[in-house]
Amino acid sequence: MNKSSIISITILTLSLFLFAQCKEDKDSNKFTEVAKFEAVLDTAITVSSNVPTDLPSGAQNASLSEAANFAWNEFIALNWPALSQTGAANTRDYPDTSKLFGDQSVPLVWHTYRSKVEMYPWGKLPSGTTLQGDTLYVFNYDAKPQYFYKDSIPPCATASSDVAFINLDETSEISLNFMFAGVTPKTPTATNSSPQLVRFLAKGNRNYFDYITSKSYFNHGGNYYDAITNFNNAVAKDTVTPDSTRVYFPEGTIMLKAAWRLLTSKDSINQYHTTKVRYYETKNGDPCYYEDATWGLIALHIVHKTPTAPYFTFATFEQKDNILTTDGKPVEDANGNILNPFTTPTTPVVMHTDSPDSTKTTVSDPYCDANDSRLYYQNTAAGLPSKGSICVNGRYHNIPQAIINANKAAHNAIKAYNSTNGVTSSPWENYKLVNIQYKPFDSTQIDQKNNLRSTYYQANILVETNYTLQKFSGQQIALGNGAGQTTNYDVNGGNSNNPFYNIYLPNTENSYDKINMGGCMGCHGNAQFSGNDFSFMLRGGPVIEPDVPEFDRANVEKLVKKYRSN
Amino acid sequence: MSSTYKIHPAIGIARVGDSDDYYIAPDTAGGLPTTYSTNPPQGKHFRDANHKLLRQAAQFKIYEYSSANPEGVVITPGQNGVKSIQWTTWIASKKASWFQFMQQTGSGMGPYVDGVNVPDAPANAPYVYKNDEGYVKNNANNPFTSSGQRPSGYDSNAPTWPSDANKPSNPLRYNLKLGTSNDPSTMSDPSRQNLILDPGPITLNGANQSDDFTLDPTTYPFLSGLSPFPISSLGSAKTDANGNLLVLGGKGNSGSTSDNGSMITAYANNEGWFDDIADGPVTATIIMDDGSQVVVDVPAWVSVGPPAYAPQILNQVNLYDDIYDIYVRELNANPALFSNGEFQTSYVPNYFSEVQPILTRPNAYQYVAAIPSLGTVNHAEIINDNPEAFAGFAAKYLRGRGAQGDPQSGPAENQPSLMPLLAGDNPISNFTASKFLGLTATQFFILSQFTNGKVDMTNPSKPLPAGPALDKATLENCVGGAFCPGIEITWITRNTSIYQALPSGFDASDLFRIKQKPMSQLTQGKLSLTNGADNDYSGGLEPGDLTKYMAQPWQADFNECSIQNINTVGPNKPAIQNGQVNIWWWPAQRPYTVATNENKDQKVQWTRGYAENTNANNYGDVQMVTCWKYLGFMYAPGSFPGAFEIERNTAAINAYQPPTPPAAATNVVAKQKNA
Repeated sequence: MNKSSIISITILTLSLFLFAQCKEDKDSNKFTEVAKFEAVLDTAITVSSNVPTDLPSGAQNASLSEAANFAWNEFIALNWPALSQTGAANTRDYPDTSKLFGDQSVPLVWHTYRSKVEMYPWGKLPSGTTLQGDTLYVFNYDAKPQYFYKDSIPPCATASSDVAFINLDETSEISLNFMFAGVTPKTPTATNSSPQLVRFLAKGNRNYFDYITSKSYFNHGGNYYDAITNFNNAVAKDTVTPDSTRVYFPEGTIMLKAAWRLLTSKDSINQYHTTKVRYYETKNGDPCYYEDATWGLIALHIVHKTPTAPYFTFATFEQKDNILTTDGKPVEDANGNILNPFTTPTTPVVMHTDSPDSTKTTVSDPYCDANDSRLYYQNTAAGLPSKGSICVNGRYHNIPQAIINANKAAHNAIKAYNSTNGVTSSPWENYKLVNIQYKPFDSTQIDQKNNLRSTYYQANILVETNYTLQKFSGQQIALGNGAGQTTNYDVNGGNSNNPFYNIYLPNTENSYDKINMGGCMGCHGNAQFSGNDFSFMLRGGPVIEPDVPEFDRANVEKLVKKYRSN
Repeated sequence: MSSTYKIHPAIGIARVGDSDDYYIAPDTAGGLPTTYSTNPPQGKHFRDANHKLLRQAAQFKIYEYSSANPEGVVITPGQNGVKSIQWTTWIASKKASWFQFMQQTGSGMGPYVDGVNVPDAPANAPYVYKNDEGYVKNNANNPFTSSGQRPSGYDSNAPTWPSDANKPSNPLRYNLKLGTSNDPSTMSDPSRQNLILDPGPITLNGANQSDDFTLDPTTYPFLSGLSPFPISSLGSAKTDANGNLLVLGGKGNSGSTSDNGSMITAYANNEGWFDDIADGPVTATIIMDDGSQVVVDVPAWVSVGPPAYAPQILNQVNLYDDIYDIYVRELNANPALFSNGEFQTSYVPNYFSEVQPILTRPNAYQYVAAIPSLGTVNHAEIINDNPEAFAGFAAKYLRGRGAQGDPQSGPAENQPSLMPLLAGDNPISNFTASKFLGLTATQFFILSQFTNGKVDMTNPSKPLPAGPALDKATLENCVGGAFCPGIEITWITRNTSIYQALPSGFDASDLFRIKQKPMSQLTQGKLSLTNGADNDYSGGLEPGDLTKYMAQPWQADFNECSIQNINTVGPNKPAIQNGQVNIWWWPAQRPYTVATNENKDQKVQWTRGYAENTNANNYGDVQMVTCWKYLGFMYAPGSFPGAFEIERNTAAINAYQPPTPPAAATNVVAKQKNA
């Protein structure tokens, strides 16, 4: 059996010449968008442990198809089994090329990226830090994980001493809503107060960690406040400030966000990537953790700064069966084709209006209490309809054909690899790319080619589910009765008559091209706007405590303050 | 009908300025000047027609308390049997004669709670997490010497040095030109007497009188030769047409006797320097129409400080919070709140008078410091928090003092990331570290009660009487921490012995009273060189005793007290190059980054155009000795949000010529304090 870790399969994409068939109107919530394809020889999707460094044609020149292949190459490399995690140098982030893609017996490469709290510990130095001489810390990225919150978090019950790399310390979609999987039994168990709840984590790779530690930003130290001010001033006077004067992550920086949930007998568990996770509950009112549970990966964001995409690329993947019908049938196939069409993306329908004077997000009653297999969410923010659950029937913008084609190609590549290498238990054919944002564009630049509406509004159905996130552009309203809604106007302390731009790209005239981008990039653009170079983790800084599954008003308000977008 | 006469404010604050004109100290917290000796030009608030910085006059009035006027009424000559008032006030500057300010060392205090061990106390810095033992013990345990090897890094000009550089010690400030030593055993040496700048008392009889606190040049011949600014007076005293007293401080002059010229090497202690910061008692005798004389029952104190550059922005912990906390915990001022050695959980604070003032302050810091957006938004939000919301989020971030918070993590002052996110009493040396500012114990308890839902949401219908309200507002406009050393007065305000014990049947008008040595027992030119050297002021304070702890000259600390590199874990020293946080000192009093009135979208350094401190000379500090009077003021044209810099004399700052060529001027390098 050929155990070579690299098998390249080049997929030729047919010249389709599918004419524009975008059937949606300006603000439609539905219908499949079909991109116009030109004859393109796609770059390879490669089953390789090598993380691609950039889009081969450069981000500005790449097609969506090329970008999709780039995303898949990221996904494959990051899901490669990692080297044995002993704490030794150069073990985290590194693939074990002697192992096969699809092996789930050891942590995967991205698992070993540092969790948010490992990079931003509360009141302590990042684990593994030692003192060199008297005046210099040496940060050890490869140290085994330790999670230092403000208070030491005990296990809820006896736990193994082997700390899980998957540290699910977020319970909401950045405080806007809680996300539930209806397919999972609702009844609390002895170890899980909310089995349906989808939980999240955020991570950064070695480049991310090395940057924030080299700058002392891990505790908002060093010149952090001045760097923030420098960028804020640069934006205000529309004059570029050198990268050295502001927060500016290096090329090769990768940030991740992942969603996980409990799997049950209703799920085809072998079609999920599963591993041991740490998740948090409460005991006598205080957080504690369970760690010896095996959960399934349902979504993975990969946010990657490349030489030609200094604004980061944003790729998002899902398990194929995330969106289910009321009776548990998948809405899409593994590639993203619609199997079971839906009428409205949600029940009830969410309606949104946005103007300089008023932004409103409402639903048509009644709320969804169907108690079926669908995903559903409960809004929490003050400006969002939150008196009941909202069930998910499908995406606001379906996966475009270019991505579907890439998914098919990737799955074929994985199949071939599995066949060649005798891999029988790989889950990765059951994941699909939803989209990738690889260059920012304004809503006015949406077209039928590469700047698709679905790309503009790229959103993962399990990480960005509610209307604000599925249809994100501009910014969130931060305060007041309208908080949590997306708006295209400068309402957070600015002039609400002005449009809000969330991406600032230096141009040749030493000023900024201002763009109102949507979706993941637009949302993270708000972190750029705040001076944190697209990183909400940096903006938040030291992590005070893990989120716990409590849905009362007090917890909701706490989450809103922790994750507030502005 | 018996009456009691009390002077308010209990502690008046005058502020230096280079103008002959002045404004009356605001009588509200966060108030702007409203009453001027000469109205400033149209549109100006802080400068005279010649662009000079107006001084702040501390105004004192006598209130008569009686059964007919239990809340007090201001007495006025010519009314109600009062013929005239004879005011006596005596301010002095003892800075140059006192111990060097060395953070917590000498205070006899600290944040550490007996019996609570601090984790990871390092063997190589055994005093870092221990409370200070006071001047006497420190120096008894570590006598000074001039023999043997001078400890590495110790002041190379100092005549003597501590036997053990690794133990706490408290050298004296010294003056080589005047032949005085830093050896604390020489403290009462008569040769040191002239280090006390003592103009003697001023007595003013009746209205519209004035006199200067002139320093006799025959007693102080060296003052005329100070470089760069000679000192001839500590200010003046006046009476207005109503017979009220106004005390004015100096013109902000500071200078050195050193032959080396204007050299500043440290934030708080510089050989040869004097400034015109002073303080002292204020008392009065009321001459009644029948010729009888009544000495006021409760005198007051005046203290001179630097200008208030952001008068509308209150410090998170102000001097009222600081002193009220001492009165609550040590002087039994509010038994319902604190008695039998502990806070009373039955106490229900009033939201509007006790909780809201604490919660509203953080939001204004964005105008004097570059607070990131997450902070500013949440600062704005906590103003609207109900107890449940506050408990869920903000309460978890509160930093108290000592064991408040999580004792397992050590004193709250040493935990990063909590709020207030401001530098503490000692983030500098390894003797009694206190890295970050904590709320006072009383503030922390008030917010704890609020967190637990114990709060009275009734808007108090009855405000404080005028006299106590003035006492409170005056102190609210001053820094109450961190005390390193601070702006107006330092940690001596936490020393219970400086306060007059509360009388039986006391009321709010009796608080904040400095215990005074009777002026009749004092002799000009013979003020004590040692009063308080044992940290015990039970015998009362003399002129100069409050401000003698402050930086010498004040401009050095004022320049350096912008932001501070703080080790987040472990001892303060050695400074860890890549593990420190830059945290602000007192931006509400000494702004750091500001937006100008001309360009509200840009943040700039408040001290932009200043020279950078170097190892050879702290040029920025030296420049502050001259340029403090040119800096801008933060002004909110309406109610917040929005405070912007006005009335800055940028041309004068740019025209400043340092004494020797400095390194290139910079707008971005922060000044740091070093021990």
